[in-house]
Parts: sequence; structure tokens; C-alpha cells
Amino acid sequence: MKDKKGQFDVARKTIYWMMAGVVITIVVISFALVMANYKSKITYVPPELRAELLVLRLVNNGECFAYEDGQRTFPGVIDLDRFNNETLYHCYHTEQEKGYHDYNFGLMLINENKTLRTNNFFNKVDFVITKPVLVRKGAELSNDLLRIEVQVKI
Amino acid sequence: MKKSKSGASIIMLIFEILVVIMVILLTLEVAKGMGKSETVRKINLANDLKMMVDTLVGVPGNAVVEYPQNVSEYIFVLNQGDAVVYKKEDPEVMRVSRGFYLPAEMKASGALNQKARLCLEKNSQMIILRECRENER
Repeated sequence: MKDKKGQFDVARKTIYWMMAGVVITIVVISFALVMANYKSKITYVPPELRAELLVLRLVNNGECFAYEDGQRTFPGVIDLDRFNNETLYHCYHTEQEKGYHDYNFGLMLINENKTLRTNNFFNKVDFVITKPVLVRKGAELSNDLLRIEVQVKI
Repeated sequence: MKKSKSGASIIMLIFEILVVIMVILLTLEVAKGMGKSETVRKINLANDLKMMVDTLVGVPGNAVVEYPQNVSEYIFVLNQGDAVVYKKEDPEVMRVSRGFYLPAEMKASGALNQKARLCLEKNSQMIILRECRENER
């Protein structure tokens, strides 16, 4: 009689531990996920801030579109002669293969109606940044708006 | 026969206790790791460094910027395409790296090995990571 009780005890515990194993695994995985989620929350940087810092170069850096007279760079003044894909590629381009994971931009000078896009921009617009700029066309300066469509990642 | 069943029960009991202890230790270890928040600190430092580089690229002319915290526990390496942060004892997998894209003519380089003050300098077409000088305050 006692033998049978002993056998039942062992079988019962085996079933118990099978179920407990599943529950413990779920608890550990959930705990890890909660921790990972918490970590990504406290290291989060708003994409608008990242994009704003990245696009500074477009209007301020002489290697991008900022006008240069040979002696100094004029931040906020866009040289229309250099507002082209070649200059944009030199200024900012992402990896050809996996660059769609990074920030990409579609640029438009509203009054001039000129459009450029970085090498992995696929028209997935997450948000738009608008910057008032001056455009230098020959010797003339005119007001314009630079509309920057931001693709955070695909 | 009776004795072997009783032995099996005792082994099962020991196994149960061991499993419970292991689960508790594992959970405590993960919680302790998060509590120390070393990884979080490294991620934040690498993110900040990347954003500082992006900002310096967008600055016309030359500039020097100092990171407003004591970073003497960490090692920093700035390469052409990424910023890496780690502690001396960290294995390769614990290093945190953040990538960035520079204009074609620009270069980035430099390292800081457990110094308190970190400075990033933009000098013409070069971004340099280095220790801040005495007169840079």
C-alpha cells in the first residue's frame, strides 16, 4: 500500500515540476523582457532631437549646402549651385546595404521647387522639420523654406 | 523497495530546493546588474557622444565642447564611423558602440583612457576626442 503511495508521490511531483518548469521559464523570460523594456525607456532619445542635430549640417556646414566665399562659411545661407545630389551624398549618406535602418532625409526648397533625397530615403515620412533659410542664386539672396522629411528607419 | 522510494523522494526534495535557489539567484543577479546600471550609463554616454559629434559637424568654424560629467571610470574610442564606450574590465560583448556618418572630407579620431574630463574638438575637417586641457573651462 505504502509502495503505491510512494510511486504516486513521485509521479505527482514529476507532473508538478513539469508545470513548474514551464511557469518558471515564463516568469524568467517576462522578467528579462520587462528589464529590457525598462532599459530602452531610460536610454530613449527622441528621434526629433536626433534628426534636428543631424540636419544642422545641411545649412551650416560648408561641405553641405552652406554658402562659402572662400574665406568663411555663411550658416543658414544655401548655395543653390551646390544644392544637388552629389553635394548631399558628400554631406550625408547612409550605408548602401543597411542604411534604411538609419535616418534618411527628403529635402525640398519650397520657393525654388527643388527636391533631393538621401540614398536610402523611401518616402516613409515619420515627421517633418522646416527651416527658414536664405538662398544664394548667383549674386542674389532670397528667403526660402527648407522642408526636411525625416525617415527614422524602415 | 520501500527504502528506494523514500530515497527518490529525498532526491526530489533536494532537487526542488536547488531549483528554487537557482531561480532566486538568477533573478537577484539580473536585478543587481540592472541596479548597478552600468550598461545604461554606457549606452547614455555613447548616445551623448554620437550627438555631440553630429552637433559639431553642424557647427560652422572650430569649436571645443566638454562633456559635463566625470567619466574617469570609462574608456572612450572615437573612430571614423563610431564611438565606443567601455570599462577596462569589460569583455568585447559589453562594449557599447554608436555609429555616425560624417561628411566625406571630415575625419574623426581619438581616445580617452579613464580621465575625468572629456573634450571633443572640431578643428577644421577633424573631430578629435581628447582629455580637456587645464585652461578649457
